[in-house]
Amino acid sequence: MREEVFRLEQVSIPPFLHDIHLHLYRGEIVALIGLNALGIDELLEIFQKNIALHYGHVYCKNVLVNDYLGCNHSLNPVTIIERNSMLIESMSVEDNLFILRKRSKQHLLHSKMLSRQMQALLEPLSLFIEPRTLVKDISSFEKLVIQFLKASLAHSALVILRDISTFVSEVDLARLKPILTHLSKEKGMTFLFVCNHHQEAFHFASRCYLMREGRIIKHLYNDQMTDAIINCYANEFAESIELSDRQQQYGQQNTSDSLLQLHHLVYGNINNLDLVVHHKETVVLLDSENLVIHQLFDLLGKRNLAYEGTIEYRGKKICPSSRSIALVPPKPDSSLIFPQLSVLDNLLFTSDHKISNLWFNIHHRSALAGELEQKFGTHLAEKDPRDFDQAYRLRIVYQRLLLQKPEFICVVQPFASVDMYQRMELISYFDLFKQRGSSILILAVSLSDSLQIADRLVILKDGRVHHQLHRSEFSQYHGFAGSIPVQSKE
Amino acid sequence: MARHNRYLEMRVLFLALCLTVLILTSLLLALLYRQDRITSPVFIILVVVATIGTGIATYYRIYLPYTRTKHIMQLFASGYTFNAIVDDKVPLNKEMVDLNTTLKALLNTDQIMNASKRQAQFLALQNQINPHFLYNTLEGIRSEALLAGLNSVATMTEALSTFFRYTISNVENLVSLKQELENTKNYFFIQQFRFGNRIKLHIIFDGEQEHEVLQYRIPKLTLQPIVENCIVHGLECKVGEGNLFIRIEISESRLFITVRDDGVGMQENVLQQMQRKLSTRSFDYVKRDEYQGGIALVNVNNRIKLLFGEQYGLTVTSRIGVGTDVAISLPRSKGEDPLS
Repeated sequence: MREEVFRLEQVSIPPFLHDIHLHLYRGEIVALIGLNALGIDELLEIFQKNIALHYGHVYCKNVLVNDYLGCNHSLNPVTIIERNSMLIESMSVEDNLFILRKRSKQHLLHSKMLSRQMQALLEPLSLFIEPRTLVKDISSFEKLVIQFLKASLAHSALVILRDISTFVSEVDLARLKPILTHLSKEKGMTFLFVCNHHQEAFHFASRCYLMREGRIIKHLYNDQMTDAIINCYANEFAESIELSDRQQQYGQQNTSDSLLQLHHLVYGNINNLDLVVHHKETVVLLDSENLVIHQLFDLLGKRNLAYEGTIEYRGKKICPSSRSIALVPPKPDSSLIFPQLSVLDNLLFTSDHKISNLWFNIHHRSALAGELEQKFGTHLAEKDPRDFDQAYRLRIVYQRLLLQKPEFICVVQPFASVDMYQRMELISYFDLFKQRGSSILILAVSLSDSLQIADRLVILKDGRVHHQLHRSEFSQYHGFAGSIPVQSKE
Repeated sequence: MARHNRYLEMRVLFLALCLTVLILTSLLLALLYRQDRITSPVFIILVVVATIGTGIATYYRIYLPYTRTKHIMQLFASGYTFNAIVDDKVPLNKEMVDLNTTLKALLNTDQIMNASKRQAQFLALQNQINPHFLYNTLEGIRSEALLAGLNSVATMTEALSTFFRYTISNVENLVSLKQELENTKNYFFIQQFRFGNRIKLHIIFDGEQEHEVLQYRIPKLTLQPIVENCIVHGLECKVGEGNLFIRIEISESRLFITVRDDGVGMQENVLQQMQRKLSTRSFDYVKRDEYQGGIALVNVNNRIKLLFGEQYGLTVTSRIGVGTDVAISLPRSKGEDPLS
């Protein structure tokens, strides 16, 4: 008989969640794929905390902990692991594991014993970390594993892994599978793998729940976890992205003059990197070890200078403040939105080179606001961007880029932590950039549908180009790619 | 007093009394202070403390119970719950409790009436088609078929005879999962004479001890109506081979049965209507004379909720081109019929 860890029965919180039935057993890995983002946050909050429900019952370890008749706001033994690590960077791994936990009752620290305990925990996972190493000095993958151990020590009934492919590289994701299997089978830990891509989910999980508009729309058992079934639920994506005419604009091999050139670049983990991005070309740079992209983005933005080598834009040194260059960091819906500005000002503030006296001429701005009303609603000059959801804020960022019309755009992980409908919208924006002649460089840890907008895939290893594939060869890529262009499948 | 304190009405009256006393005392103290008959302003602190205390008491003793009762009433009105309104810990007043008790009795009467109605229909059917006569006739047909060397006709007649016997003869509410599965297999076998090898039934015991699981008791005629629905609405219209899966899994307290087909699936609006009917409770379906799709599922769902409680029942998910899943949640029990 299987031991139940969590059970949700007919849980409803309108308008976010409707009739959620879900059960998780001890020692299993279950995936939750959100076709759209509605209700995911609320569902995870229900796991963590006994909040007020409109209707339904929540059981943890077979005990009723929450129902619609009353809630006590108490916490359930659940750990959520996401991009922002719960570890304290300035403390050692050992301290994070043993000292910073609820049930730690030791007054005198026995360092040697703690070190031994830590090594005993890490050994079965084939991982070795010096106990006194500071958390800031270990890799994202190691941080992830330490968080698993921390959850295990805290006797968490459930560990929720949220969008881990956005901060753990593909190589590390492959290393993660035996670790998760060990922890679930040997230690009886239960994992809920929350993500947007079924390939990742299918790789790790033995069951899978599909969710859309706050409802569980399908419970997939192992025998049903196939691409064919998922495609029936994501047919909008297939019709508008995979099968439409937009595919024809990609794939022409461009060997004309280069726009951006990296020559023998050396900095941090970047080791003699050479790369050329041509005019009107979209290149995806896959950093499957998650070592390089943030350093490269810093070099492109001139926040740091390379030890050796050069970055040339149109044959000259790159000038990131130029309006012909746009650099989009990760999570632009928060990092590129200025809360003190209205929605209209957020949309227009990089368009001043296109329209003279933009900031002094109220008529120009109101004329532009009129044109943008269809997409963003009325009274844009009075709206605060913080009042809107992630999809709206992303739309602001990409519409701003469209108005700016840069020649070169560098984007870090554009499809990270966005649902299927947002990905469709982002792809249509990238199609527009392409049609307007922009060159695009996408820096990615995981591909996550990036190949749909790519002419070329460049794979990095040990800080340099390992190999590259053109659009017609994308089917040769065997990692988690999300959706692959149709012509390369043929 | 403690018994009366249970009602919100009494609590509100008590609070009003406290507030009146507090205001009058404050006014009196203020007057005395103004006439210099009280020299220390400490009474202001006392008044503030008393006001805060009254505020806290109002929140916990009146506001929270009131919002809870209001929420339960909303859920009752939308059909989510029937029992919670009767079990309300802090009712509005005594009359409301009497009203709810009467309402519960009425609901039960209605339920008994419907059950009686169904029983009468069964009895009528039994009178019209005497089961013994029917079984004997079917056995006769089977013998004749065997003598004539028509083995398939004999097998089909035997299956039909067993199916009728199970459906009509047994009168108890709960049967073992084994009995219910046998009946479902029997029904499927009869259907296979029509569809041939085009439809297949797969029964999966999800990592469980099959022998033990089969002893758990479930309401009679839970699976067969769902399987029938899957065949009629899902597999019959499908071009090519169709599969029907019955997956059984148990936890410490629950028995989960999922009936899944890979048929044509439901339209989105039909699915939403069905989900709405299953998540709220109503007995409207027994009043309707005309046939409406999915009545069997609503009937099974309501029977499960009546027998075991509102946290159990059916959930349906479906998609065109993928098929339909009906998940049944039941208590894990080998015990007696809860109604007996």
